[in-house]
Amino acid sequence: MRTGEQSSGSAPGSWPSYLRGDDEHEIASRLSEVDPLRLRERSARRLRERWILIEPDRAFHRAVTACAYGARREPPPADLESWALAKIDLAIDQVVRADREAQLAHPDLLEEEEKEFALLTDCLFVDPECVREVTVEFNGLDELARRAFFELCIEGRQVPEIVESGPWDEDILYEAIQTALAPFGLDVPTEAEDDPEAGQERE
Amino acid sequence: MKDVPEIAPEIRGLLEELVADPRSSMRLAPRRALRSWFDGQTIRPRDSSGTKLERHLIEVHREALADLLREAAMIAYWKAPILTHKPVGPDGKLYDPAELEPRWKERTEAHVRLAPRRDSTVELLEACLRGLRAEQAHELATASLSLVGDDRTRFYLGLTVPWEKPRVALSILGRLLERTVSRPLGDKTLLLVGARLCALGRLGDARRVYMRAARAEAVAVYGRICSFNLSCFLGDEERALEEARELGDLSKPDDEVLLAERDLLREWMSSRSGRELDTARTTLGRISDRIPPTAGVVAEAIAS
Repeated sequence: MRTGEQSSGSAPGSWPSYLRGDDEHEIASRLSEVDPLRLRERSARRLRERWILIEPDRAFHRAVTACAYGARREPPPADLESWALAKIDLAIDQVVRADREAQLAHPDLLEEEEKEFALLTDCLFVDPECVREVTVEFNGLDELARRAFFELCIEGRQVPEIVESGPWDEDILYEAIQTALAPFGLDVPTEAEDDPEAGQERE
Repeated sequence: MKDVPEIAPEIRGLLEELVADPRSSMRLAPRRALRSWFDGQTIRPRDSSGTKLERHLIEVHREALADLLREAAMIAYWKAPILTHKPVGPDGKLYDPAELEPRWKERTEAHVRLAPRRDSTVELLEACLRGLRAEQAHELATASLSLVGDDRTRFYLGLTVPWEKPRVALSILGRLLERTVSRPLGDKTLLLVGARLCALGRLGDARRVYMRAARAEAVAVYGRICSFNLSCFLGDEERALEEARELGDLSKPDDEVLLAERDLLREWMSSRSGRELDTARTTLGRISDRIPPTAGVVAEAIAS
């Protein structure tokens, strides 16, 4: 199979060769090794666009299998790029939902894949056993909070730029990032009782 | 560009402490590199192992079957719906989900034909392909939920509980309201809760739920219609007038949704007692000259 094969090279109304086969395992292996649909890159980008915090590799593997599975059961789409994006969105939705269901049903039982997220474990020192809890809580936050986290911390944009281009002023952005950091335990407490020096007379 | 302050000092200080910690990998990269961490370009070796793909393929298969069963439950229910308003499609018009059956069958046939193994789920789908009956709706929603936990399926589970079991339905729907993070789904669930409370004769409780729904944009019209209607049945003239006026701001007399709700309410009226109907008509009679035309359409159901 030519690695540079483009979907436009396929006959109209047919799947490209890398999506053809009698076995979805075989199609999925091919897709994950060569990645002609750029699913890895597009999955990560889509997570950033939707402000969803799950390990991009998980989104990638789910998208690969969703594409392989769909290619065997669906008619070829007119627009393969849009079809692939829809599968990426489906993959993200499934993983987010599955994590939430698992966290509610058995919070202490995690699959190995659910503990792996270098951004959280290596950068933010989240215990691997807590990765799913943190991401489920984060992904359950409203869009504004999630967007603030991604724009400030993931994309590294400057505050004035974020305020200018977003649906917020500086106060709302501050509240949003506070909300976003709460699942990580990084928000700044605002209650007096959280301040060990509250109520004590200063000398 | 307007003058804006920097990120709050305490948050910046916290992030700086993380960066300064010798154990933190963050200090090895500028702040912008968090994106490269997220994209996974830096660190772990790629693991495209067959095991991971196999696991994800199994999950994709389960999700696909669960989706088909949930859709089947929806189609089956809509072959004989009870006091449920039709959904609004992407084109803004009401549609009958039962009409989706032919397309559902096409997709299901492919999944059944290519199923990796023939288990009870595949056999259930095969039976549905031979004929999808209204009475199967709850069984199908249950089967879907047994495969994959999904609040959309729990919604259909609550919807499809037989009408003569309102307490069971309320139990399911109540739990869904507590747990769901989807606001649109929660809003639609409120309407189902209201309907079941009415079935139990708890009109005051039902009105409270509908008034809550009336504050949710997605279902506000339904909430207002029902709270106006129930205010008449409860003899609450002041509230009925208020709800009528709010409804006037939300809808127009020729609105397809309003007309469909009026017809549903006519059907519902047939289950009310003579005393209840007298109260409703008396209340309506006192305010009918002050309500907007939109509420007047709903009032036709009470007056008829």
